[in-house]
Amino acid sequence: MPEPRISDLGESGLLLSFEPPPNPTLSRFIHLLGDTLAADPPPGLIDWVPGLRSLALYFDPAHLQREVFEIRLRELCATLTPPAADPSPPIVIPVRYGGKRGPDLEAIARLLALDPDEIIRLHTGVVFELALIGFAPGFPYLLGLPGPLRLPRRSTPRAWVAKGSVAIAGELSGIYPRDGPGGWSIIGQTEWEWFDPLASIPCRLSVGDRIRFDAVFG
Amino acid sequence: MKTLRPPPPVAIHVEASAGLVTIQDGGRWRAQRLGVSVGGAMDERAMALANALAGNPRDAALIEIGWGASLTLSFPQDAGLVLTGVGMEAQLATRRLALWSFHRMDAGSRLRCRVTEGRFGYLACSGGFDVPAVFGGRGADLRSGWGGVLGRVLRPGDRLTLGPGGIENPSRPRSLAPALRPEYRVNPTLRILPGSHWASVPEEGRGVFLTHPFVVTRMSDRMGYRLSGPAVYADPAFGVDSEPVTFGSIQLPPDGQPIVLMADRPTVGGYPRIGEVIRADLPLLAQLRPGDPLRFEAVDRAVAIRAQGGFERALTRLEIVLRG
Repeated sequence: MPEPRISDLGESGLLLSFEPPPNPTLSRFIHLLGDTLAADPPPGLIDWVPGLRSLALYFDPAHLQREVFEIRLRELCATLTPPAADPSPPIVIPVRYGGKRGPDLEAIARLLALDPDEIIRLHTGVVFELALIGFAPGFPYLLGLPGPLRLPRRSTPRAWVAKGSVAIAGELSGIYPRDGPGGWSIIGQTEWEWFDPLASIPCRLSVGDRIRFDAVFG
Repeated sequence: MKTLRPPPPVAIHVEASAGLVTIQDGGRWRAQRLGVSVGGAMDERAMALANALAGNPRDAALIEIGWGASLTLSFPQDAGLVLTGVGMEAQLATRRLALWSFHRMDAGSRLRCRVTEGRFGYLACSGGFDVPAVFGGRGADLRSGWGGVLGRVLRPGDRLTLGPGGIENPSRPRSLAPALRPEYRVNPTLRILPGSHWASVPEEGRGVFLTHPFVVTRMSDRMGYRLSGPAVYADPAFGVDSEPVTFGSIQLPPDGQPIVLMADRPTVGGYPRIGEVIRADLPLLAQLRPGDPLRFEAVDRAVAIRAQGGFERALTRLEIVLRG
């Protein structure tokens, strides 16, 4: 993997930034790096948090020598090999597209000069790979949005997006796990549940998962 | 033969509660990978010192009272109590309780409190509030609806149970020397460490950020404080791929007006980060209300570590003295 750029994230954090644009291989690498550090943590390491092409490491600066830690990080980056893509069949998530459940579908169709049905066909016709869970509990960042569907985030975020809303932004698709604010364009909604804070495995999705959306009606 | 039986848990009754009154603690770390916010007390020092004076671990669960909120508690059993913050009115019958001191609440007493200065006040009880931990944290996350009491603010009728380690009779008065209290002040200069996108902001923008005063706006809550002032750098194309953010991260949205992320921050953000407010100065920021001014000053990592290290050593000494 390429050399990371290392910068401060406050005095108790480091941010490793990788040069390549977000991609599934880089995401698998970032999570492998985090897991490898957590399996044999240096004294003072508190947590690791992934980004789309970055990794944050939070630590107690009184117990972690940053210079020594940086050497280990660079060594790990040079030697770790990201795991291959998961060969198992994709997880299929049922979605009701358009109408009240996908309030932005019509507007996006006009913006992209596509028929709404064509947007649904494109969104259900690919297999996404989960690159990151972040922002809100269980929120999946899914890479693989077809080129014709790419458009920037809404200029003004919505104050309220319904739980289960399936949304797109840039090269990503995502699903809002709870009611709350959101800046992505909403094309549908799912009743599929994947996050339960009290379950033994709170989140049924994880990095590297392959995901396909399936249009349901009624 | 006498058997040792643990005393029944001490319960405290919430008689009245209005506004932002929540249980908070040191936050839920190690679940950020699932997108779970760290949360926790907005003013870490006021929390840690309240807990230390109450004889608790420094990140134990306590009550955080927001500015504009009010709370009345009744104590059916004896309990130990400490109040901290910038300014609080805490009325026990006809007596006003001082901040930064340990108070013994006798069974049958009733306490009313509200914040008079600053933005958050803290009420710690010996033993800590025994609410269930979610992802390792006991603090209320109101957006997610978990932690604290049923994931919500305190309501009249709530019964709060205290953990073990309850009240002992302190051998000497437990009051914090003024030198150990946080140096809250108006118009603070907050020290920052430049972040990964600092160098991407044109020099003129960096100059604006470090020389002009900013004001905390009404659009500020436990998640983030939106500031208003001259636009630091407004470029709608200046975005980043979502990357981790922390308590104190200063984001620049397209309008160029900085947002400082606070306790209930998301785990990642898509706006460029120009830097982080150092940990030692976060309590000063947390205590600012809408309309309050502030300034920024860039420092290096060694300054930030020294500032926080000094506080932590003083806190450790205090904990040893109080235990002894």
